[in-house]
Amino acid sequence: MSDPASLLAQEVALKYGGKVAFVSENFGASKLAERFGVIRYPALFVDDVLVARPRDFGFFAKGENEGRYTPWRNAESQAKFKADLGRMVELILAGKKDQLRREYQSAAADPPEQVAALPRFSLTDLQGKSLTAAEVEGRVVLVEFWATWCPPCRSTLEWLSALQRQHGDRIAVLALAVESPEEQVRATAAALPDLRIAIADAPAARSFGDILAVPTLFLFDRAGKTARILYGAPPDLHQQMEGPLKRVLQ
Amino acid sequence: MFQVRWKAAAPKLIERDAKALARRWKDRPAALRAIAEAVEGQSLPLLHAAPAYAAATEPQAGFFYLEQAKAMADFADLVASLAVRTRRAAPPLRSWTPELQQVQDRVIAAFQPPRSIDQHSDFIAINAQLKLARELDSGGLPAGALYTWLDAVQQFGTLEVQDPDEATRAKLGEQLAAARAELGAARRDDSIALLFVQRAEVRAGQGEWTRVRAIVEHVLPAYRAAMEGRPAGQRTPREEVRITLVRWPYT
Repeated sequence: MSDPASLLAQEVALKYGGKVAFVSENFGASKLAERFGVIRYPALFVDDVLVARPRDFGFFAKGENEGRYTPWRNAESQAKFKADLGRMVELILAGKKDQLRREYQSAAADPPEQVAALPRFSLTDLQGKSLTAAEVEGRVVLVEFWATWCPPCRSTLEWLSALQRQHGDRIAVLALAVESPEEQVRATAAALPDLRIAIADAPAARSFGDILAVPTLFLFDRAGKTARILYGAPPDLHQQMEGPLKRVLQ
Repeated sequence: MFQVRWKAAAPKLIERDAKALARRWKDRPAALRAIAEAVEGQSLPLLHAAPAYAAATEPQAGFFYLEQAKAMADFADLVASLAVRTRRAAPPLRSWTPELQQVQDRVIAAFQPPRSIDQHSDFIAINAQLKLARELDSGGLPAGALYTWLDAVQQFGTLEVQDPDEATRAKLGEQLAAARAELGAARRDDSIALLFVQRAEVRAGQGEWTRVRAIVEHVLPAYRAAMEGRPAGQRTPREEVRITLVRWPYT
């Protein structure tokens, strides 16, 4: 399915007579995908804004026809894809990249699979202690899904560790590793003593909805209600999370 | 387990790829070089995609693509080891970017409803070949890029031509025989074009005349034009916006 997306995107690019370049990058070798923690394909970026994920085309979604461009093998869906992409390009050419970023980060943060509240998970942390949702009830909770092979995760873990030190018992930061060897998780954890780190098993990860990217960062308020979800590691991730965190801490 | 196996295999495959890129092809048929390069060029992209695929789906899928990466390198080595020589002059190999862009533009223009729906899988195959050809071209594998580009021309040509009537079939048969004679007698090593002549001969025997027609009317003229020189009208991009599609390498 990537090739139809490629052909349609190239058709849009061609309309701008050289102002718009199209490139395809291979899954597993894309620095852009790595930066945003994209772990499934296809993914589409306009400049450095992630504008379409697999579920938009019906892949890795709960239902085949739940995406923005599904059913994908359909003239109307493909026309909508081209129209949307053209509009994104126009926004950037008009100097409105911030608007594009807001629209698509907002869309990414509000997928149908989003969890409304802190799930009732039950895990064991690296020290062998029980780690459950009940244990952190009544506190602001930050949960990050991360992986040892994800370079941006390292920086977000360090930032979260600093947040935990700064706010003490007012917040609970839980760093849940996925798809990572235990010895590497332990090696990372050794340098981050302020964080509660556990390896998320499949049921626990699934309880948080679709983890399509690492890092994926969830913020829950004191009542356990979802306040913010950020997928991947956009350059302004820390700034994007600071406002909502400040609000839930008030 | 997958990570362990991948980490053990990766340095070896990367080293093999570097050696493959340094192969000397003097006095070897261009067709051998083309096939070896077209296959070798897929080895590292598959290697690098394998862990991501294992993580996104299941480890077995990662193993599949890791083994495919190895198989590509093995096959390229086998082709390169064949003891075949030629005294003909090597074809003028260069970057095929203008030719690739021309075909790509035609494919993009053709990918409109209802064909974009009815011939969805055909277009997927063509576009994947064009993408591979661009990667080979930019990766310094010009014979592989030429062969892969011509393969895409054949596939696209098959979608464009009508099934020939009896009289046209007879004429195509004559043109094919003439092409074989011409290419066989040339001082230049046209073995890449001869591969397509062979394909057409096989297809004619199977009664698949649209494929024969695509080769005679699209591939062979494209090859001849490419041998004569670089087409004009290359784009000079003034890039202001970049659209990036992150995708599986070859589907």
